[in-house]
Amino acid sequence: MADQKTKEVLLNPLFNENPITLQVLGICSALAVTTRLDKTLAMCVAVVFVVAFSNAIVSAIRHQIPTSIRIIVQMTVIASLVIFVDQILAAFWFEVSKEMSVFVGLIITNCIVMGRAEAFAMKHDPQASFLDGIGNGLGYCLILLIVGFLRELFGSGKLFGIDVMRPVTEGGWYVPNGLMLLPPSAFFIIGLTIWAIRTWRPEQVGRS
Amino acid sequence: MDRDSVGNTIKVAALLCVVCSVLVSATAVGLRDRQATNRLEELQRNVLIAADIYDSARPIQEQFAESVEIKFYRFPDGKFAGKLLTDQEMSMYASRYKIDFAKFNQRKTSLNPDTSTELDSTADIAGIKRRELVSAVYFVRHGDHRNVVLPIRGYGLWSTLWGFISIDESSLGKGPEAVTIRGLSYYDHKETPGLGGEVDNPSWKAKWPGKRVYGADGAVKIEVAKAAHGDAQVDSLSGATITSQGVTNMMRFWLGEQGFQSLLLAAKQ
Repeated sequence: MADQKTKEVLLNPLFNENPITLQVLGICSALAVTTRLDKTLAMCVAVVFVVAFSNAIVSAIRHQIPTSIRIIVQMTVIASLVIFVDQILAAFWFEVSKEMSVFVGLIITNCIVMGRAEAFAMKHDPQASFLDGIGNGLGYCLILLIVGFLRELFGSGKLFGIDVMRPVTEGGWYVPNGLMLLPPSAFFIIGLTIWAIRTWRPEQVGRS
Repeated sequence: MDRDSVGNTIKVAALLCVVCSVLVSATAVGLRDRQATNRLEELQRNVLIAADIYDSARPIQEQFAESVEIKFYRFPDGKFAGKLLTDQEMSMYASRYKIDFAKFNQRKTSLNPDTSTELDSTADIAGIKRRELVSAVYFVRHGDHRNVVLPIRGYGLWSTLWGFISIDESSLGKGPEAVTIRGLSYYDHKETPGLGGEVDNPSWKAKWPGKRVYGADGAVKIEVAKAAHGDAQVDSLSGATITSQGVTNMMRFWLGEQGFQSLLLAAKQ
């Protein structure tokens, strides 16, 4: 029974309750960091880390947090973790941190992090909250990687910066689709993904 | 204990602030040296790339130390022409403007009101607002000659692009038309990846070596243009008209009268 629940907490956010496609949260950063897969991957790791630990910490101190300042307490925990991640990236993964710059800082305002802290971590024990954070982080990653894969492949003919379809600018045959590199294309891809998932799982369609 | 009481609220808030700020400042202080090294190496790496001698297999600082000599150039300011500073002039600048030449930081120098001048809108074609009084100039040994690597920057579409352009020293002193570019490199910008961000693309940067900077009258001729032809035009980046224009503008500024023109067109030192 316990294992059943762990699995649910971890896997539900991937398809059944994906934070991006079901709740449509956190799509601002999904636009910004998905032009290249290496950037996308770094963002994923950062977000999984922040959601998991902010959930665990908020949950561990949930009985001490006064109701009147609970949102501020959550924000403070999240912001500290994000600064921590930002500093680590700048020290050990410099190339990537240079490219991501402001978007790491914007994890603070990513609705998924705050949403999970308030909706889940305030009511559950640290272990479950930690897993819920990992699950939701991975749900976010899954969509981001799909978007990043399509945008980099069709926008520059590459994956992880390695030529897959050699673009004409480098003597190949593929004419890159410039729209894929601009933010609106992420909206189209996320929109189509939501459509696909809701066709597969009709119960996710909102009632009007 | 009543956790919603005023006393407890203040206690929790204070405790949380202390714990979080200790964590954040410990990380920042602990990693500061490493981050500074990263930034320095990034700068040095791009000087070497612009000078076309970068070898990714060897430590950057070692390569930099053995082939680069740094001098300082004073920009023209109405009264004086631009020139390389002598040791004596450097110590004068160091004491008058508090410029630390040993740890010269171009960005800080250009932001500090004491060590930079504001440009009016007609002079500021590169969109940089302020120009520093002195600039680092890197002389990089490349085979039997040296390349002169000059820091440049200018506004593109979203951001200021920071980079270096290198000029073949052996092409100097033979008249304006002889001045030849050896390379270009950007180390910091926030242009759209895949469009303006292609300023980083090695195959675009490879179009620069061999291009000529000036016309016969000493005016800056090098530009980024559609369907480039001749030895003073480089193909623009597709889908990045404004970034391309920004690159042209920064060439006009930094290689022109307000920039390094008097260094490049003076008789050979």
